[in-house]
Amino acid sequence: MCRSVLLVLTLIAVTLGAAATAGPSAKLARTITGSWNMGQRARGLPVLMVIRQDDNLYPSFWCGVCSGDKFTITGSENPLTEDLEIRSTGGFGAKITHIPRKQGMERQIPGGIWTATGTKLNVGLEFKEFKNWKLIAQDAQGIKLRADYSGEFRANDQRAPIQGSMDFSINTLVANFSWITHLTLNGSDLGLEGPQAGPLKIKVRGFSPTSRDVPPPSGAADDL
Amino acid sequence: MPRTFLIALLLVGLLVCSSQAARPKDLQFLPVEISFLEAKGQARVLTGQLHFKDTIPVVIEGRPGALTKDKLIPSNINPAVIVRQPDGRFLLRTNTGQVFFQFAFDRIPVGLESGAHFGEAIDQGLGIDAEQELGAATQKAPPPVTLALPEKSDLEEIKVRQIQKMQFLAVKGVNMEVGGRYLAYSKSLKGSNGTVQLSAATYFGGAGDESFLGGGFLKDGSIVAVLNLTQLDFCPSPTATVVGQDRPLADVPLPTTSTTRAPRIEGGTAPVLVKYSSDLKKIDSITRWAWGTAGLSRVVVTPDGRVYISGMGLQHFASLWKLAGQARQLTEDKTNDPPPVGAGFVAKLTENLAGIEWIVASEGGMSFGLAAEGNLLAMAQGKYWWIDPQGQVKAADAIKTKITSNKMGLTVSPYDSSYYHGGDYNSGTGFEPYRNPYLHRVLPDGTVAWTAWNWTGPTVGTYFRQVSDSRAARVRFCRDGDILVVGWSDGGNSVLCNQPYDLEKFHKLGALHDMSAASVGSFAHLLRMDARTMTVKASTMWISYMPYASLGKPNSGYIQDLVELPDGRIAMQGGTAFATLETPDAWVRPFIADYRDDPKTARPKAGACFVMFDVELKQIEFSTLVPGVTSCQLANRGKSVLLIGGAAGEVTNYGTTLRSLTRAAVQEQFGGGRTDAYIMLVDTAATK
Repeated sequence: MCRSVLLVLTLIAVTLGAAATAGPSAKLARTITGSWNMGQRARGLPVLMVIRQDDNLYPSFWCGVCSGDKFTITGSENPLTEDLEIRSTGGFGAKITHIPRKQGMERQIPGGIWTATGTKLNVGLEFKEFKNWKLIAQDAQGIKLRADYSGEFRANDQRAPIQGSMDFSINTLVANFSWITHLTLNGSDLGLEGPQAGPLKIKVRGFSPTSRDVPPPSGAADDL
Repeated sequence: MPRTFLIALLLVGLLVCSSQAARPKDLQFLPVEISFLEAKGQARVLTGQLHFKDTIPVVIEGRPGALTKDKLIPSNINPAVIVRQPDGRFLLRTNTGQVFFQFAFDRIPVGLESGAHFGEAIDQGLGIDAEQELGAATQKAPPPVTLALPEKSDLEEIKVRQIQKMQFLAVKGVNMEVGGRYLAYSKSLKGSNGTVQLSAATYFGGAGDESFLGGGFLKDGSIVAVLNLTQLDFCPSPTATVVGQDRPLADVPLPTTSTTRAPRIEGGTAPVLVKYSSDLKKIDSITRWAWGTAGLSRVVVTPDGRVYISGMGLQHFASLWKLAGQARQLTEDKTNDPPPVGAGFVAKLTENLAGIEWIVASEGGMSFGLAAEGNLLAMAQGKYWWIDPQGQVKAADAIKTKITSNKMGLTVSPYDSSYYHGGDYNSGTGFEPYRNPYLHRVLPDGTVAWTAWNWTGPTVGTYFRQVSDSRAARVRFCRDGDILVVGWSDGGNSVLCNQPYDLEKFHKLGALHDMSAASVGSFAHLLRMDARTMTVKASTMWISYMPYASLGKPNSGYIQDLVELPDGRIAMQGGTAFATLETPDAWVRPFIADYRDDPKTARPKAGACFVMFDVELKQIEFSTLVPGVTSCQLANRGKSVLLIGGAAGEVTNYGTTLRSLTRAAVQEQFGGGRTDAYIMLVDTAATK
């Protein structure tokens, strides 16, 4: 009995001690930290891409899945400034697997002619690297982060480099995140001609699989 | 001992947690007064709360059914009473009429209100689970309904066979008086101020089931209506002109028609054309084809008054073949031979309706639509054909892109000859919407101009919440090149509420669009689309609302046919399941008139209706019930609209019996059967 009481007291002391040494950003850092296997299948078609053009009535809607390997977001508290520091390792992609057919409009909807390849359709985006992470909001729904990325848009055998910023919403209830980015590309860089050769306004969004994986604490190896 | 105590505490905690988790939020109860006979035959009455989950299970004519809560809350329009009948069944009388049924259980356990959860616990099967886990024998399912009393009773249960009557009582906090959106709309609709008038309406039929297939205005302004008949004795005058010669019928079996919507055609069927005077007050002439020659499925009267018909050739069809001015089959090697029994045909009638200008026939059925410049686009043998006004046939270009098959009949624009494939399909993705609407516009050269909607389940079901099952049901045409699309959905969150090319853009909303609190139903959409771009320029829904201050959710409606008037207004024939929204100048005394006389006794009515919308579909200019009307088509010339179809003579809807309207009728009395053919002439600008 005494041993149990001692054990409980020890646990309380350790918890209080940890809390006493953690700064204001520590809890937030722990919350946003996670690892996701982006190639893992999530429910439905988690990627949505909408392409619009000025002066074109018709947008195109594309759906697909996330792709890639392990993508890790690590939050930590700067021990000196107590500021939140965020970094990430890895990247992920968005692979288009489905487009609602708009028969007769393949040359009217932006990128419609990419579908001429049929089942060999190879359209997607790769977000290879993320940097300049920032916390932009925190509310009851979750935590919103923003990061700059660089990567590539592929449309069958055409490739175009992309750069932009992506907003992440970390859903703390179901341990996944959703992401959204807006970018503009010239259709001519992706093999489009005529009225579609000009700027394409692309919105891509998706959500990750759920994951409870947490990377090792920042600097843990150094501590050893 | 402490360890045992802790385990026991843990188990109790778990039990409490699990029972709370299993407690259904949707468990319902209703106050009720139950009259029943005790074992000794003495009558007894108990007042308590009837507890059940979602619905009360019953058996209706041998099939499982359910009584929903809204039918069991009494109001001035809802008796909500169940009475045992001499044959042992129960009769429920509600605002929606009456239903005979048997309960799907044999006893109602009785408990205390303070322990009202007892029924809930039984309902959740907690006891059963425990017994099954312990290996007990299979237990009979518990009764799904329990009675909770305010005071302890000597009864443990009431056997269903003892029950004589159940009178449901008012529910605290639920106002079932007439109110909500139904009353608000009924008060706000102003009507046409007498502009829309019923000029004439008449039956045409005998003891059988008759219904006009279609009709319209002839060149001289007279009116023609066409139907299939197997006898014409009910109309001795004027004497019918017979096309062809009546002969005895041989025992030749008819081919089975592939579509369930095809009219029933018997061996002795013949088309009958009734020509009325321009005011519909007199029959000028009747033309009948010889018995057993053909059964019609479609009639089109062109704006210049020419009549085209299509249907199936019967056993004496060949006798008409030689009477036609020109006759040909689509089959290349048998061009001039009469087609076999069951072949489809399209024919153009002579201007006096007493002859056949030409017939084109094809094995396997034909359908057609009126294209521009008096041409027809016909479909036969899986191909499209152009037929010019002189009956010359030319193969049409095949559709150049693979598109989804047509589910709404061949629909051709009489203004630009483009045609439409529409319907819905199930993408089989497991994501709502399970039924996805599509509409393809095909140009005369076979080019697919555009595809509307055609979003599949995963596209909509993941990021967009317009997940109601939906369908493009039919298309009609406006003079300025717009099209009118009738849509259907089973809920309010439909992709039909978006621009058909953009899931992120809603289109304009019109006269009726408030679908908040809607549950699953059957709702009609009316969209005015630019045919060139498929942009929705105006829209409305045709629905009604349950007429209660509480629970006044949207209720089902349908659109049967539409026609655009020269001034751009839209005339619609449709209906609603309950509580049709009527204007004060309706031809059947509307609810609002009764309500203004006595709000306590006014009852909403329902059924088939005739409605006028403004050009923008923002105003219901006129709305009236047209009781008993079925399978209707509309036709228009100038300010006049024809409503052509069938009528049941008398119809009871939700406890109110109404007679079909007649005015200045050639045949005033309903002839019998399920329906008579019925035609109505409407003046849409009577005071203008």
